[in-house]
Amino acid sequence: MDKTVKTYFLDADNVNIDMSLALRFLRVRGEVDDNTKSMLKSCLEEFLSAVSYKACYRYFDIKVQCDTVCFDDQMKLQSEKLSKNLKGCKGAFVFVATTAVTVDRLIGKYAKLQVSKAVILDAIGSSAVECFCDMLCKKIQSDFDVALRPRFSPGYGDLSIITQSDVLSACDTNRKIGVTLTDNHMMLPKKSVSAIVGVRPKNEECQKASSCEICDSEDCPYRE
Amino acid sequence: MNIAQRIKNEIVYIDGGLGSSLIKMGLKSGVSPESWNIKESQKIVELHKAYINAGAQVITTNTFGANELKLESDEYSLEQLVVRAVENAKKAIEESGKSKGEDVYIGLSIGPSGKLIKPLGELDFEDAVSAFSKTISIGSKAGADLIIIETMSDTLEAKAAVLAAKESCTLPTFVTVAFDEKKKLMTGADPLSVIAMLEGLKVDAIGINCGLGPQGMKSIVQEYVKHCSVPVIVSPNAGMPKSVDGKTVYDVDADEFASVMKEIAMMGVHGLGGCCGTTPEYIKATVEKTKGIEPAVIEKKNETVVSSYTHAVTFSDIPVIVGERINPTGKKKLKEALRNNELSYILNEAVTQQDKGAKVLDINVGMPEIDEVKMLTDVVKEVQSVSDLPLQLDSSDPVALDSAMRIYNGKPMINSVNGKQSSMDAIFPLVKKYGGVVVALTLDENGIPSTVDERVEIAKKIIEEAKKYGIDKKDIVVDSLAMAVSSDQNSAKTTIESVKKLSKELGVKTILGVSNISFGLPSRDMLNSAFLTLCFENGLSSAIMNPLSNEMMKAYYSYCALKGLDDNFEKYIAFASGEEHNIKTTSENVEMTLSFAIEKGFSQKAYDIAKELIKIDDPLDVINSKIIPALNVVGEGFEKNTVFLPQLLMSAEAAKSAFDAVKTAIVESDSKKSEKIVLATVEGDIHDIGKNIVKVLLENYSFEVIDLGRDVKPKAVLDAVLKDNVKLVGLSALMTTTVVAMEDTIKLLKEKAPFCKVMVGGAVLTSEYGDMIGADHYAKDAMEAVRFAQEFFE
Repeated sequence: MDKTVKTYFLDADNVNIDMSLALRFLRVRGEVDDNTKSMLKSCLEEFLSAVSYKACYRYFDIKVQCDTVCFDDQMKLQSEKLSKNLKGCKGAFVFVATTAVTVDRLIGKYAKLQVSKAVILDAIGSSAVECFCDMLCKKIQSDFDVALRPRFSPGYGDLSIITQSDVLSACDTNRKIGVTLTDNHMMLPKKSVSAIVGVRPKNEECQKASSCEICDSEDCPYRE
Repeated sequence: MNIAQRIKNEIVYIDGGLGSSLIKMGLKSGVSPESWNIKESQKIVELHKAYINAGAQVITTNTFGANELKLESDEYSLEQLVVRAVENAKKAIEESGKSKGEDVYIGLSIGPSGKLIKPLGELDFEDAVSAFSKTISIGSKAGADLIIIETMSDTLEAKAAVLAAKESCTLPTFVTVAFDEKKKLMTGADPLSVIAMLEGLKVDAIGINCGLGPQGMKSIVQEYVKHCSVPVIVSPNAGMPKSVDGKTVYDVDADEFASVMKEIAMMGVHGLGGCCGTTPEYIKATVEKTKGIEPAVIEKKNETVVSSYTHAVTFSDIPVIVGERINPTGKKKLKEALRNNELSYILNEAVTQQDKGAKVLDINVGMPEIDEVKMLTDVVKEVQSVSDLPLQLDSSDPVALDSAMRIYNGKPMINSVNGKQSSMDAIFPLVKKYGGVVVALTLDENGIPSTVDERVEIAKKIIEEAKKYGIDKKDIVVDSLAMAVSSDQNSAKTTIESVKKLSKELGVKTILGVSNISFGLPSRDMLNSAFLTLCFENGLSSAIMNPLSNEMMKAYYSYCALKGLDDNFEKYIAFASGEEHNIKTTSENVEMTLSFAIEKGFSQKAYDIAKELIKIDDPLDVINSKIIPALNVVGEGFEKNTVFLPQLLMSAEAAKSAFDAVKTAIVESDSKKSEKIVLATVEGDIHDIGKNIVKVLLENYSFEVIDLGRDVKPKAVLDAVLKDNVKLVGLSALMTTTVVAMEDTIKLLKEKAPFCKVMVGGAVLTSEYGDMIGADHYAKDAMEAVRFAQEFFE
């Protein structure tokens, strides 16, 4: 397997943003009126003019023990949940995907001028990066001819958010796609996702699991 | 010869990608490359030697990541790593039998800090400057011959690094940035804006590295050589990496690389090097393929350009509209906003002017009772967070200009310098240091001359004086001063003639604050727009004016259309159809009630209807019987899950517009004194969307919100509480890691301001969690925060 860091860039119109997911992030659980609909539409248009998608990803051979996973000699992550998620896998991809800093700038602008728009754009951004991650995983599956397990991110379950820095440096994100960390391990641009996806061993049945199922936060308002 | 001189006259070869070469030599990922300066110093020396043997005349030190913000390990100090890096380079030159500073130069490599600067990130601009300064000062003392700032992907960070270089050494400085395939930096800048800013900062050579392979860089190189007046450097990657038999290889080989580099050299590039994947073999091939190419003569480009963090504005045939509205002179509302530090009013003015066609925004915040140094800097930062237009920093205080020019992201316009020696002595050093296009007023110690020739003479004097600072004529835009025609019938004529002479005979760009011309006369727009057209026709390059004035914009779009400056009349038609649309919607006069407008979130309509209502109804009655009940309907709907967050916020904004309309009619004593609430997103947390939602709603229910923003230290919350004796604080945190900071803030408040209650909210919080960290109340959403505040103050 090619173990170099790969990049994947897409334009706004290559990603089909799931607006129902954006609405779930906005906690909309019913019909909205026409004015809100037209607001959503204009926010989406503005979002599309600002967004561009960038990701980098890298394959590792992994060794899974009961509560640690070793990624070649690059990094070692401690987490029972992750070990469980990757059980049986011999390799995994680590990736970081982002909607670029122009989206942060747009949301930041409206946070100062019109909060309703900022909130909607924020939700669209979250949905967009999720959809981009799904596309990236599909691309990895076809490029490398592998099948992938559900993705798992730092901060899920018992995988400490502190591991973000290892994950980001494994993918050289600062140089390649401009994703950096704050002192509190939050990613910038804000609409970024880092994750680990196990390569399913051959002949393994596909277990369809949503990212919500992996997560412990059962009272999460965004839970599917 | 000094390398800065040398690269002007010849083609200079720079080494290739150090990091990727080190990996090839066995550097394990996860190990800091800089640690090899000490642990594997001989390998570093050998690598430098290999590049020297390949023909590199500039070798870059292994210090790309050597800055205090990035170095994690405390195995070695910054000083040890940087000093050894320079020593390794010296040793390599010596062992190659070359002479340092003559045959081969040592470039101190400065890479990005790894942190994003505010407002996009959390790093203070001055902290970035200070971090770069430390590395540069160590490296220059250790014997580097030049500073190479490379792989920058943010203009503001590049500026911080350049200022650090200028302030901590006297070495030549080269700057190269990394564009993506869309020809943009990570933070959005296009090539022209990068060139404008860096040439303004007077770096010695500028260029492109990393990000792309040689082929992908060609079109950007084309733009560089077309617009640059300094030598251009190009250091591409060897294409994309892939692994073959477990080894990393790049998809452009040395021969192919060198062939494209030859094309690049022939475009007029003076610095040829390489980035990721370019081993000595690549440099050797490049040297061989390009030997004998005659270096292009670098011509001065004489383009008057200002820039922001995304794009540049060039003063050409199409006149540049500079929006004048952010200036307190004669503006009651703006004065009040400045006094109360209500920057949102200013931000709205900024985006409105941009929407109406301004290409540059004038920023003037000079008022006797405010701290102009701080205010101008704050406003510039804030405006740059909502508008990507270049700004014209307008102040009579050189200290305020210094501070604002320093943090300005791009190449600013400066308003202004004049023919007085004291003014030139104060302003030109700033333009020399930070770069900029400066407005030069044709007045001097004797006042404003009444004749055309005298005004032109002053302009000449200013241009001559600027030369002494190395400031070109292209960076001066002359304002020959439009004076009220009502007090001197010939004043317009004199100004127009001056504009003509300045642009035709002196070949300098011009600008005017056009609206002064009509001072003291009725229907000012009528006169202004005619004057504007006359000035444009006589060569005026830009106008400081009100882009919200329809008459003047009509004159502007008509002029461009008639003079062949508007391809296919696109702008004219867009403007004209906007006009028709406006007439239609205002004449429609939709029958809508205020309650409906608020409930459905039509902000503009809510404002318009409220404005009409207060003509017939008592303003307080409008609030109590129309606005508040409508808000309550929406609030209750939200609580019952029939109205959702976006609608709630849109209604809140519509209600706010209605309040704004009504407020203008309320006598001060009538309005109820509002309760104050401090809001903050806690220290370390940069996600403030939740806090912003709560703010909008609290303001709707007539609380006065003191918004401290995000990443707020406990002490700052306490200070705000004590300053205004605030009884209620709202804190927000998104991540588990920052709830700790929330707890610290609550502790501090309980200890030092026990009279104050704290409500908390945020994604990770629950009621139990809130209790655990000592909060008085946990609000699950914004409406609940409002309800709690209402009960609390009852």
